[in-house]
Amino acid sequence: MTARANIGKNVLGVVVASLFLFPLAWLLLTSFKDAQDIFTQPFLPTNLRPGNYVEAWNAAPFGRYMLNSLFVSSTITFLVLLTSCLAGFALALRQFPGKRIIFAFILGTLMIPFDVLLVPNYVTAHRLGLLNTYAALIVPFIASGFGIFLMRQAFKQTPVELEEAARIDGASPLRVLFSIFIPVNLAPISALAVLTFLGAWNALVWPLIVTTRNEAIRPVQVGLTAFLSQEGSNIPLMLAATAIVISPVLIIYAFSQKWFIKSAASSGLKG
Amino acid sequence: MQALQNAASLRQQPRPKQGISQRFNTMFTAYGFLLPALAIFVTFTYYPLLQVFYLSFTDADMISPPQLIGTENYQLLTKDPAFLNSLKVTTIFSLATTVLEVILGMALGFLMNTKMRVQGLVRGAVFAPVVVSVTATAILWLYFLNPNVGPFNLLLNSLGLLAPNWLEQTSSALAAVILTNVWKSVGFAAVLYLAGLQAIPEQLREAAQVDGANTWQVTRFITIPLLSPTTALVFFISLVGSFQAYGLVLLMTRGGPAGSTNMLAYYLYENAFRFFDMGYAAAISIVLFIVLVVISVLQFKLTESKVHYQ
Repeated sequence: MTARANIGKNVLGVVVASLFLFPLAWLLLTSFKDAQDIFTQPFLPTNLRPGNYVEAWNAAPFGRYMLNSLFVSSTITFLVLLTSCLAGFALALRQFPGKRIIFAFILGTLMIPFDVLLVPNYVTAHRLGLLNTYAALIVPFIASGFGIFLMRQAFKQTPVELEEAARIDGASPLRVLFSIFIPVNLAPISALAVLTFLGAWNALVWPLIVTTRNEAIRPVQVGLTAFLSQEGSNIPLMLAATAIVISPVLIIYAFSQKWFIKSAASSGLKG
Repeated sequence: MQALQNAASLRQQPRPKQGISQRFNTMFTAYGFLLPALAIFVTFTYYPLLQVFYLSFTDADMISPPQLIGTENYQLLTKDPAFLNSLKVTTIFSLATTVLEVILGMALGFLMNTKMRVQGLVRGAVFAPVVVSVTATAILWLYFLNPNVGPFNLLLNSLGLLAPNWLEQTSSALAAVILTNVWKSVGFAAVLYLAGLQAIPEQLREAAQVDGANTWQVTRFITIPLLSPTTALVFFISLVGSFQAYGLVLLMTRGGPAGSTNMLAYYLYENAFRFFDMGYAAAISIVLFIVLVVISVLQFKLTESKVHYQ
């Protein structure tokens, strides 16, 4: 490898990385601009105005929104892990009548996107009295066809001897699952956790339509959307609010980038 | 294999103590383990699928009880210019997004896989927009493309040129939303390609090089064909994902200007939750569902026949 080709590769890498980071960097810099700079300075502010952040934070209950999102996303993630491990264990290690049909039934959910079902699910949530409650934000998402499939694959590759040894010791299926199969499969479980949490944290349309009458339970993406319709013309304020909303995710991402990327790659595993 | 096992178990009979009660026990354990997930799928996937079909033949509006009105909603659809336009917009949006994500995703996957000093930076930067929410992405790009505050537009202004209003011109609004969507999601495609590249055994490429193939030939005739399962996956994920990208439209353009970004899924949302015309929205859902099923079936057929598996 010649030195010149090496420099060329790195230059190309920096250019491509900048293209992707530029809009984010612009967001961050613009969120510190004052009302004047915003219309005159394409990139760098002439004086920094951190007051935008204080103003945005006080203009809407973003702290509350974030706690709502944290609660909803953590609950969904925990329950998806639980239902996926339970169902994946049954499908990977047990024989029972109807297994093939049940497996097809679970895989079939992957072909039916939630957006096609917005109308009937809204009607169902209305009938069950779930609208404008945390339950509407959580319950429809606590099982995942993808999660079950992922855990079934993982448990199938786990040596059966482990289960046999535990069963001879008289352990119940639940104990076998929790004290053997889950601990040795933490890699796919953490991948499922990060993908589920991120999906729940970033969800917009369903949370938007089921929290219209209860501001107190709004997740952060809905709060930000509502803020846009109130403050859309105050651009530095709006960008400061956006920066507040994305910073927790981007900070966590900055520290565990490899984990995020590995998790995303594992979602493309062939069956 | 199954038959052999059956035969073996027949010969072993009568089995030792592992009796009927224990077999029932394992069976019920299995059903018990599956029950929570199945209950959710029945309530929020399969029952709604039947219900949306039923609602599409009614005048449901969330106020009065739905009345059956036959195929009226579907008849209206065939004459609704906004719906016919949304089919066109969706086709352009989906094809453009998918083609861009496959081509750019592959190129970025190769770059991410290249050994270099800035490899970590490249991987981290390309994937970063994937973790940013649709809401934040939409707001960011809404202002980034704004003629009065966007960085490129300000540069154009300072040069004395008139900055175009990308999101408010029918000629550029759809392209602007496509660009936003590709920025947000191409990193995911790139990571799938990166994983695909890492799974290709090094010996295959080395063997071709020993036979005198140059880098381009190795890439063109060895690597890219071996990546075809990844390409099929990225193609499918991008295509299906593009139908769901209407959150961007909802926040950036509301389907406008003049319907130029009115995607099918957004039109569904608008009818259901702005006009509360649930019956009509249900009929649009059925159209969207049929389109997605056709894509899945085509994808499956194509994968079976064309893709080279290792």
